[in-house]
Amino acid sequence: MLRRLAFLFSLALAVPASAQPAKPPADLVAPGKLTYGTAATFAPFEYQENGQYVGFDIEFGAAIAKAMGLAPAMLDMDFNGLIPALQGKRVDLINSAMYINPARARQVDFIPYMRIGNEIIVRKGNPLHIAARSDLCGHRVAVTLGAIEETYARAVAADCAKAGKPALVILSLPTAQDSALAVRQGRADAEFDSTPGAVMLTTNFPDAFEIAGAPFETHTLIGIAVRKDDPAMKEAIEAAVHAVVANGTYAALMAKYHLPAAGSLF
Amino acid sequence: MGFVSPGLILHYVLSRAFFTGALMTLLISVVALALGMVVGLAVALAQKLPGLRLAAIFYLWLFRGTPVMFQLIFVFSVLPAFGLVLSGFTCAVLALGLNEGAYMAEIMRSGLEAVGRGPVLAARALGMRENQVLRHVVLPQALRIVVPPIGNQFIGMLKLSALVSVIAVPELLLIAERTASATFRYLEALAAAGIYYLGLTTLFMLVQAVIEWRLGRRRRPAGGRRAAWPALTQLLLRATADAGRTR
Repeated sequence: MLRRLAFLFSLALAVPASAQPAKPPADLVAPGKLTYGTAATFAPFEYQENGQYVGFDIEFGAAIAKAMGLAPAMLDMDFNGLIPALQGKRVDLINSAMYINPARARQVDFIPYMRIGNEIIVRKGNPLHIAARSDLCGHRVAVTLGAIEETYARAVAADCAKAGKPALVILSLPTAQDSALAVRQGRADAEFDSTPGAVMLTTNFPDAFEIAGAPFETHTLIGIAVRKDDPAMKEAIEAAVHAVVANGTYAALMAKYHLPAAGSLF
Repeated sequence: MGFVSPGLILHYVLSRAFFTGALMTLLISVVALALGMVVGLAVALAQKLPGLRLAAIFYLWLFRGTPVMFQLIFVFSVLPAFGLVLSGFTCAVLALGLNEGAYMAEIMRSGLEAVGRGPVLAARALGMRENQVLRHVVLPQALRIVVPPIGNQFIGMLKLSALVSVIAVPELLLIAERTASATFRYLEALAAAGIYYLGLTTLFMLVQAVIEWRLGRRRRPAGGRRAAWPALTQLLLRATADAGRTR
């Protein structure tokens, strides 16, 4: 309590002095810090390079925190654990390129910031001649546990069952890298990944992977997630996102990480 | 977080997905433990043989000295680089079984070493061959000693098998996590998995109790279940008397 009072006091001093456009809400996990949860296994949005956390979301999160007059604090965890961590107040928000779908939107509130599609990734040469999701019946697809790709895979499995085709085997792995490895090693026949992630993977490992068929679910939005009972945080993040868009950082980051400008929501 | 729904927990417990997940957990545990016991006995016996002693110690050093999770991921992700792509289930059983073997070897060794020189010499004096001594004299006594620690390992293995969820083997924990991440009913899905784990460990404890009772009964000269309590007191008295005599 005392700490919170002290924090509020320091806030009262800090905010007018720096005149930030987005006032941070009072009830933060760590005073003076914007603590966000991320699963840093989803290039090019959040991943590690030479021991450093990099990616669009990492820099976007830092810019948002700066606009709020806070220091960014990242908590790297399994994707599957992000929503429980937010609901359990371990983090202030989720900044992990999370796809917005109705099931998640019932649990958390989203501030959308980009539109991205998905791809089917297969081994180089596409030995099974996969051209669409329906070709995957009877084969194995690797997805990240709890990620949107797992939901898509479940939908494909249901379609295979409905059509009386052989069953789709879903391999739920902890990270997108595990899924890529599973495809490379022949444990899985395909992997679902976001379009930017697939482009990056096939660019980095052109001899191992290729994209099969056309992108699917191309109109999915990704967003920053906040708790449902926290409208102050949502307003603050929305204001900060607009500030980051207005000062050109958003567009510059999209260019830096080779994200298609058509995905911009601003 | 919403309300706790006991009905949903029950629904998960009775669902086919959770039931097959629990079967998978049981299957991995039993097969890995069986492999561990075979490997453990072999390593324990190898430690007695001069030619194999170093190899046995190397095995213990390697498998007790690294985390099981490390061994699991090694078998799953590194062996394919050497052209050996095993299924998730095989990787799970192999890693857990080989790890278990190292611990089991020490349990087996303690059982074998607990059998005194006296009975062995007596058996030899009766003209028994070495394998007969092992079969009729050493193993029956050693078995009685190793049952409680093996029961311990079995229950430990059941819980250790949850690690296998990271290599996409659809055992109980992965089923619970998948269900929870699709419905966001974490409490209910994990509670259902917890009920299965507790049910399975309870079952194992009962099996262990039955095995111990049957092994113990053979030792007692007379009396069935009715005589169990007097027999137990007798056993305790004899044990204390023996202890007094040897020390």
